[in-house]
Amino acid sequence: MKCTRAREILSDRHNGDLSPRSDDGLRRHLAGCAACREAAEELREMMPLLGSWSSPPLPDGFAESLHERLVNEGQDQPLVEMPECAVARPLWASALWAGGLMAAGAAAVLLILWVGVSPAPRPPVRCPAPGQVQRARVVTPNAAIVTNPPDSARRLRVGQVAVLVLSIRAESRHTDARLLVVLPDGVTLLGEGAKALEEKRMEWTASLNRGDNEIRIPVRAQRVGTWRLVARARAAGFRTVSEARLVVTRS
Amino acid sequence: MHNTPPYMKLVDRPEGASSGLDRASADAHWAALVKRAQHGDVEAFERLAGEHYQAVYAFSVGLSGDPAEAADVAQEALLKAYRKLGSYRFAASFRSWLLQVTRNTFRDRIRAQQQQRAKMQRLAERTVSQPSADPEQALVAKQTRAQLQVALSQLEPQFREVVVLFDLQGFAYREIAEICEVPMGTVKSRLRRGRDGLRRLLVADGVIGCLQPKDDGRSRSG
Repeated sequence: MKCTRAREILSDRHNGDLSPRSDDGLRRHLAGCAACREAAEELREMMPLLGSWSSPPLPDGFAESLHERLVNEGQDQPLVEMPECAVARPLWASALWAGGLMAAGAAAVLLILWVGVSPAPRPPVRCPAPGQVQRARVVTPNAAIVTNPPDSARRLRVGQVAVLVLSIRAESRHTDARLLVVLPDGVTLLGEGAKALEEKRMEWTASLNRGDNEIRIPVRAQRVGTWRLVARARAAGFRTVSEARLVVTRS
Repeated sequence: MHNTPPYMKLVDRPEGASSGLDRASADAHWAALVKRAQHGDVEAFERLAGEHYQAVYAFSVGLSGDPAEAADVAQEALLKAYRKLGSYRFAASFRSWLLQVTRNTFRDRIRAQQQQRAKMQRLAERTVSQPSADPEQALVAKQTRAQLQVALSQLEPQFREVVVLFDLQGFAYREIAEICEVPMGTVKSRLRRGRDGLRRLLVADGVIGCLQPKDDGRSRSG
């Protein structure tokens, strides 16, 4: 056996990977090779050192800090709004609202998107482009009217109806952006007449304008928990993810 | 904390089972949590993360050598995993996938901070130049561990990862292959080279190799 081979299988021996034949060959090699014998001894000395290694305990507050960061993911996104806004606000009004943002330095033009639509219940839902919008009619007596403070605006009770507003910010205009919204199990998408739809994943192509773009989604709170909503947009040279966090409590 | 060296435990452990847990049950349990988290359940992700804090952190400590930095790497990796969870397709176990994310997070960090090596070098100088006048055994052990960590940090990343996962954390070849995205044969060869490099570094630092050879090098584990 050559030294190079002996050095290789020295390590294997410590894993119990060595056949009796190789072990025997190694033993014979070591008997006649002082350099490899020395390496074997060093390795034997080193292995318990590795075995005695233990990770230091997690730093204090690690879990709490992570929890905070998880909860804060997407916290700067718009929240739940009055459902009436979703139904009553005309497209041009929203566009003007976005214009206000532009004046404030956000340089925004708005994409208005009314999700919820229709009886088209085959996933993924192909949502209509802004020019072909069918408005979601979410007018129910128990509709949520949730405003400030921001924290309470992220909370719904089971059975409550609300419009979720997700915002996507684009640095420039994209005419053929692929949009994807994924709803969590905690909420149900509502369509015409506040009818519950099964879809959780909505994917469509639309224009994204420079600045903040809104996606409004009428939903009913369905299950207790902390839920994550995700909106993704992708276009040539552009990719972004927008998230919002929603807490559903008992009714 | 290891009661016995992980490399000794591995000898009796079937390939694919890298902890005392029933691997299949653990995978099924994690898969259920992942599915819930993929459907937007944040609490499910937090539970999932909680069950992996220690493994992620220990791996990060092994890679970086600095507990404070390791905590940052671990948090960053868990957040990254949270954001990327939608792209997890259950091809590997969740734990392997998560440690893969941790490994990539660490590598990204290294790339972004080219001064890392210089920092570790400074740490090495500080550690090695510490006086060993204190007769307490605990201090000696601590110092030895620090020297081990310094030597580890001087290994090439691909060798360090494998040594940390196999010898320090007790993972099996198959899981390491998943985490490092290489064939099992590569894991084995990296382990050999990593150990050999580590042995040389520890000899150079005077941590091992001061004793006279006693026999032909047969493992104490028998």
